[in-house]
Amino acid sequence: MKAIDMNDMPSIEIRNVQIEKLIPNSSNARMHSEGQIEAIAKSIQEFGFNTPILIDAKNVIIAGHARYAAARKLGLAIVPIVMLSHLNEKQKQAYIIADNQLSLQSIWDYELLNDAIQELKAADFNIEILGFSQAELKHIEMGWLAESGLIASAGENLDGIKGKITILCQQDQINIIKQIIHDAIDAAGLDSLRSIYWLRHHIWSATCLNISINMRMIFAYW
Amino acid sequence: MVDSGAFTAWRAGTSRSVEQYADFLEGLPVKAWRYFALDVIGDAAATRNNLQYLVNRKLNPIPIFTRGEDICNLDKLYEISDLIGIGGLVGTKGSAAFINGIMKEIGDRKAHWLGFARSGFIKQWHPYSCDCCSWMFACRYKTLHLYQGFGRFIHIRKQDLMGTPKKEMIAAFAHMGFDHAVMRHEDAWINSGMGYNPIEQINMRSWVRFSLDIQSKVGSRIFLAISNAPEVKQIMDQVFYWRKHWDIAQGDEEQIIGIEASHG
Repeated sequence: MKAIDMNDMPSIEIRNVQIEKLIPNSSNARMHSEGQIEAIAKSIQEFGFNTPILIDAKNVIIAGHARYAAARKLGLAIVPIVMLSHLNEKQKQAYIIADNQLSLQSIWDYELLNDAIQELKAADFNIEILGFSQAELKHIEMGWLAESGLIASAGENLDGIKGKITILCQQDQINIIKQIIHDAIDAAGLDSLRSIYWLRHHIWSATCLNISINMRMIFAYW
Repeated sequence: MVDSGAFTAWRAGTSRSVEQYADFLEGLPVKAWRYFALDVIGDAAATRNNLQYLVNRKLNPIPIFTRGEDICNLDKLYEISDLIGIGGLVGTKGSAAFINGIMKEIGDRKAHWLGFARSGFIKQWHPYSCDCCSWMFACRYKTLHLYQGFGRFIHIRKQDLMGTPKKEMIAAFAHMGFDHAVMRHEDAWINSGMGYNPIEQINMRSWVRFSLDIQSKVGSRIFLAISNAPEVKQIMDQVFYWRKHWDIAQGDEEQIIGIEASHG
């Protein structure tokens, strides 16, 4: 990797500017949902506007479109910016992408994350502002603990398989076989059984995928 | 690790025999680390006979205790092997209850769950190993299995990404190092069988991560089924990805690959 000297880097300065002067970049390919904008707005309310919007010399936004949208949602008249006047046009174009894409390459250490969240919860901090959904928070909290409810609900036995149906047919016969089975299932009024969905699903899949010259299907029957 | 499952698939539609399976094992160009006996789903006696045949051929397979076998025979299987496979779990009703029942009997002895890798049960029972081919089926049925951590997946289909995707979906994509927008293109959902397309890369990356996580946190080895050279490349690409992006201990990846028997 190429060595860099920070002395050669342009110094950056954070300034406050009127939000009306900022121009969203028409070539920004990154999309933000309303929910995300809402969450960022809440984050700004709680933590402050801590990450400036990056703009070029013409006030066009390079990075921070979601923060810009959240600021507008909050009715902020002034926002912090950093002007990146050292980037040429191609670099700006690339940085708009890289700024979004590079952040995707990090992942959570869930144990440390859970520790931190539990500490915040214990301090009565509103953890909803962290950006995780309730389901995600539950996942993080449960961690690697065994899911005792799931295990108990499955029951416990040493029963064998009660029987099975094996169907052997050529690929070109599969539609006929499928129809025969469907008709038989319907005629027998077995629609309520879970097995029927499974059976139909697999036949359908096999047909669509043209799996092999000879089809062999085994279905457990109960 | 060689399983007879893919051998069965390879021989799909034709009569199969334990003799052919034995020939296959003996003809492998590389000596298998371990290999399973040939079980017959729903037929304990035939499963037993197959084991005896393989032993008579001087092979040393991992015996399989299949659903329907007399529990009294469990200890006999452990007399000939430190590890036994638990069979008859795929696509059958009551397999989870059977896992609960048989694992109580097995206790702290080594067991391999054939085709059953539900993390909730793995966390409870800590089996020695499991195998699954879920990543293949996910690709085949055009579903994304996105690993979320803690042994859990979120399943996503194309229609789920129409409009604005849910937040947890976007987060799950990011967790795997992908942008959800990559799946907007129709071609991204095509299962090339060669690992060319995002659906294949995402599913494999998710399942490899699951495997590494389970081994690291629970201790169970998750073998991902592969049956041909392109699938070997797919799995290794993702192992290398995680090696680069995660502090994977050297050698962990050896535990990921379960080679289901193929004729190639």
